[in-house]
Amino acid sequence: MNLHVRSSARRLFAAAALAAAVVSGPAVAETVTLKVAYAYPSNFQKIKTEIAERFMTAHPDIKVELEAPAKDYEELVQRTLRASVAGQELPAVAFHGMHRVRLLSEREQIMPLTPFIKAEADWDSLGYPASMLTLTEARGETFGMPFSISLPIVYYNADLVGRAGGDADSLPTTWEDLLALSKKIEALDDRTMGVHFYYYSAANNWTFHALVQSFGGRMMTSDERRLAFTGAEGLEALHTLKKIGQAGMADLGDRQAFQAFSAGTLGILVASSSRITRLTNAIGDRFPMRTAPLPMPVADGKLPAGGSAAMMHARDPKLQKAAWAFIKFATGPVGQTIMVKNSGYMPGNTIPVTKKYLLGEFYDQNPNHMTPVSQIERATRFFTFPGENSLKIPVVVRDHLQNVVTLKREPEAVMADMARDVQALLPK
Amino acid sequence: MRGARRSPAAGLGRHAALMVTVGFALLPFVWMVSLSTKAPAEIFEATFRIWPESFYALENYSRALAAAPLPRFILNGVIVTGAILALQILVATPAAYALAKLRFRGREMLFALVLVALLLPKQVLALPHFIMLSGIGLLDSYAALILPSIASPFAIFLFRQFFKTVPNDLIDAARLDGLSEIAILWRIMIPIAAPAIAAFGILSVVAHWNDLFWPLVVIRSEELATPPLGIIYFRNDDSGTEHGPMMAAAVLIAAPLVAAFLIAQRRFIEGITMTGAR
Repeated sequence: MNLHVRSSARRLFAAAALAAAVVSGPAVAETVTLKVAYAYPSNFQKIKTEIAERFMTAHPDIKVELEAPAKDYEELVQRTLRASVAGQELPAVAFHGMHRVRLLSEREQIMPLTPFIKAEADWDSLGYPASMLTLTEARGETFGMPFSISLPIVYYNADLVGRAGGDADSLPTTWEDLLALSKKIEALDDRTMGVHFYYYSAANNWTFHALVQSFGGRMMTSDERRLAFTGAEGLEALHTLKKIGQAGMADLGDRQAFQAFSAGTLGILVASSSRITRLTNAIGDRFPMRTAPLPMPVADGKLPAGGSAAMMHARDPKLQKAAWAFIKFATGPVGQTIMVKNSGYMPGNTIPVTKKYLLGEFYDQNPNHMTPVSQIERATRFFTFPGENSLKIPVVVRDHLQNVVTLKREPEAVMADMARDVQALLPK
Repeated sequence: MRGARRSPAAGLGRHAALMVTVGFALLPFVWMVSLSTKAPAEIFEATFRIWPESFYALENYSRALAAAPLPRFILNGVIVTGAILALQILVATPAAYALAKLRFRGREMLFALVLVALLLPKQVLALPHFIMLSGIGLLDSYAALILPSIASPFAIFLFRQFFKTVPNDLIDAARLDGLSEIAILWRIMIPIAAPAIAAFGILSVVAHWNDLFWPLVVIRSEELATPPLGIIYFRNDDSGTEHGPMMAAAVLIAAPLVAAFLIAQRRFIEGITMTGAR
């Protein structure tokens, strides 16, 4: 009896195993599963899902699996490093913040994409401007394809600007005139505030870098041996911050400033172009919001590009091939059209901007989104300091900047201390 | 009894004072529900009103449900918190019983260790737990969410205090009747300790339901994520938070907890007062 049960169970098991082998055998061998990681689900969940679906329709042999999204770029980097330490398999593709290229490439977590680009027969026709590929460069190689790009821009409340006697259709293009207007807005009544410059919570001192570069300066010399922001341009940037403080910028948290702007009590806001969509929604029809480029004191001033790029963690050649196909799709015309229409970011690919049927109409209807696009030739790599303290330096810099904006210390004195503190944290 | 006979003015004052404290505790919840019914443009209006001018709840709640797989997260929350609680009780009650009622060498020493464990913040253990789970290949699984929490020093401590209040005579009588120690635990101690277990259950479920730290460390697959991850689908410091859908998600995530608390409320208060009285 017992024997009989056991033998029939064995037979059943053998049959099941055979059936499983027949069903799963050849299919498994052909499909490649790509794991894809990303951050900021409130922006990208819908976008990444749609791109993945469209990609799988075009490539039935590749299955894209989106990992649980990370809260922000820092968490995504931490998750990557943690998984790598624990010997876990990394996702094949991840959309990291572009300012994390240095860290991830120095720790050999991301693969250089230059070999893949060189292997493409018709690269020039794919719509990637050469300048875009320098945004994710490290040691002469490209480590990511820009996916969503943002630049610092000026937002303004056209009603308040008009009431203060300014021209709502064209904002002043120099800091002097802009801040004079801000003072007039401040004086309108006791509820209005003139200007807020987003710097305190900006990752990696992004907007300070923008000021320095808009004056034609840079953070370090190109060989990264010496500090460069300590020169005249950096000092101009600090003096601009001081003037912003003198124009009456309150020492508000950045989040409070966005709320005040949305409520209609703040006239001028310098912040990332990534906020256009959310600010537009939060304002509704309370007042007309407009955008303008950041004042450019020198003709060839530059701006650091923020945002994300598709990077490759995959090491297996077969997986890499599938990952490259996905990266090209997400950063190509189809992926970028989906991205722009559903977010406030600029594309890294020029094809969709120029084609009316892709995005031309979108920009006609949303002129505020055109401001960062008009600045695209100014976009440069978002600098991060080298070495182990690359996360610590921005905090030190930020505290010095706060002393300037709040008018506690003079720019010259702060510059001397800041240069000393940053130098001490750089690799010897 | 005597309190009831005091002047109605005193009673009124007492209730007024209580109402104010309750008001402070409830205000964030009222605000959360109120924001979840407002359109984005109305949230930042300079004037404040509880009830929205244009009712936008349908849009916010459907966006919350569509953008984040909330039902899946809530189901995961039920599975994980349920499994943690069951295993915590399974581990803690025998330990608490032994520490409270059995005499053996090193008992005080073991109890002191439990108290020390009570002092350790769980973040301290996160790294060893992570490495251990990675070593046995359990990262990114329900087990990774459940296993590190099953030995709760707080539960052992709470149950021990409760078991100490049970008269020894009762246990001796049970032994005379031939019950084994396990049977004493399951048939006498646990039923008596039901209020304490309910009280602990509420605290445990709330803590693990709302925990964002540990799931973010060990979970990478979306289908294993727990409820608080639903919030980060709408929180965004780069391009601005979507407050309406975020508050709608928060309401949906908090609702099962509120319901569970209302059901277990009576036992919960009994449990706190009885163990607290010792």
